[in-house]
Amino acid sequence: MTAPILTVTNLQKSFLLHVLGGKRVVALKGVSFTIPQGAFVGVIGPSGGGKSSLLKCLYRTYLPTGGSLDYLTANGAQIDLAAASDDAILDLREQELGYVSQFLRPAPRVTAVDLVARPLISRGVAQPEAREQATALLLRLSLPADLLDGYPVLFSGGEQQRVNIARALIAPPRLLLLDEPTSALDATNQETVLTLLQEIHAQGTTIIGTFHDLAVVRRLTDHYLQIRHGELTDAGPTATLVVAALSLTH
Amino acid sequence: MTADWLLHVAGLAKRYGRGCDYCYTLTGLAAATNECPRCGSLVACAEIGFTLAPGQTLGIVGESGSGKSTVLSCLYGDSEPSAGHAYFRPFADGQRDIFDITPGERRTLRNFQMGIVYQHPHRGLNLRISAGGNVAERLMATEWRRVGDIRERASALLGRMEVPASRMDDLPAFFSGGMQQRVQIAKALANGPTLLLLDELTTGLDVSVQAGVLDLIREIQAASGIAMIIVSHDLGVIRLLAERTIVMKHGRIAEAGLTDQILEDPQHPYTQLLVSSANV
Repeated sequence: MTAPILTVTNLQKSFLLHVLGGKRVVALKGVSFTIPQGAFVGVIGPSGGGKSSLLKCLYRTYLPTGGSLDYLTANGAQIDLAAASDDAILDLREQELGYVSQFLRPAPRVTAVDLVARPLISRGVAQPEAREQATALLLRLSLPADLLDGYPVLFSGGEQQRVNIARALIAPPRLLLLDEPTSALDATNQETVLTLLQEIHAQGTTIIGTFHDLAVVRRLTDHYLQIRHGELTDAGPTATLVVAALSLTH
Repeated sequence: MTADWLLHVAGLAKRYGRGCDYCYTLTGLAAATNECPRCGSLVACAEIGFTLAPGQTLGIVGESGSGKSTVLSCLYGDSEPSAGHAYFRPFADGQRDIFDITPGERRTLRNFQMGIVYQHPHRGLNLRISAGGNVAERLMATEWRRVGDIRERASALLGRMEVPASRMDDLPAFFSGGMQQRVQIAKALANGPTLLLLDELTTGLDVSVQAGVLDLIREIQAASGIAMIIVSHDLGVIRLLAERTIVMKHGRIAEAGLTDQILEDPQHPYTQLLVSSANV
């Protein structure tokens, strides 16, 4: 058996809010789990339970308060994402770590096509070729053709979300973190995104995603983690989730 | 463990005034002042340390008087640091402490390796010679000799910065603020430096003009792989341009981290106040 791509040990995250007189908000109270290489893991649980905090700790947008996040890199090195230097994290983000949030704010005054083409260009693809691929992907996600050269800042929530997804999937990372990637999409667009996710998973990307829709979790993922009140309350192969879901009375 | 770095700054301090033994211990974050209560000296910055990777952009934020511009001015050599080291890789084919070089070496450093854009164009430009002349002056400081070549290069640089060729022979004194900044940027980039220092480059410009200048910087980042240090009090500018950010207060580093982490999970009370006050 190959080594897990990610080993999370006793991950804790709390926020000390000085502006609120030193109030402490606890988001994660010591979460441990491992993720096998190539897995598609669904993170489930009620809103405010810590799902997004978990993903943000893995991407280092949040600084973990305690615990370790041991990540196995493409060239076989172990990096603790909680303790690695900022430069090491930036390198990983550039090379193998991707993140799509439900709220990512697009850069202003960059067209949709250029925004999506950028990850390809930074991996050495020539600009015309990168723009062509970006255009194809955005059209596949049914972004209206006349918006391709528009600024995503001015798009609707669902259109922005599709641009974000296209940007993350155009050059699939080795580990992809998804925070409610289909929350603002209608049924047809959600279907397209789910199919795309299955495709890049089949190509070898390990995916950890939060989904509020258990049907999506059952359809896409092979493992699940349930996070409630900052604790890991359940985990296992998704095949067993039918039973587990019954106890998921939020 | 990170592969390589371009600039490594350690223990940088700048003190104005006669100074005493207590200047550094009685100022800073805990003391909530940068003025020494014993001797009245001003500790503009102290204990500043960071590493910059090639092609990376580092943001320095903080309010006026926090010492962020002092850091730049020490690096560029406009101010003499009171303490510290700054190792700069590309200079003199090896690593050299640029706080410990001769004036001649400093000139070479400025001519070949470092460019700076000041908040006030009159500091970076000679307003009494033409826009093209400002860039040419910079080129002539290095190996450029032939007038035709220099003119061509200056025109190309200004064109890239969207300064129309028709304005090349005009005096920048009569340019708009945004256009003056573009000429400054062209001048700073003239000799292909490895490090560009930007000090509040959009402060005082109209919002729409700011946008154009910021977009230009982003294009330069994407096209040239040049490293940058951007000093700004505006978190929006930092968010847009910098991968890593240092937050300064009372002349010290309050916090340093990835820009998204600084904005979404600020640790220091001052950073939390700064982020919650801003609209970014």
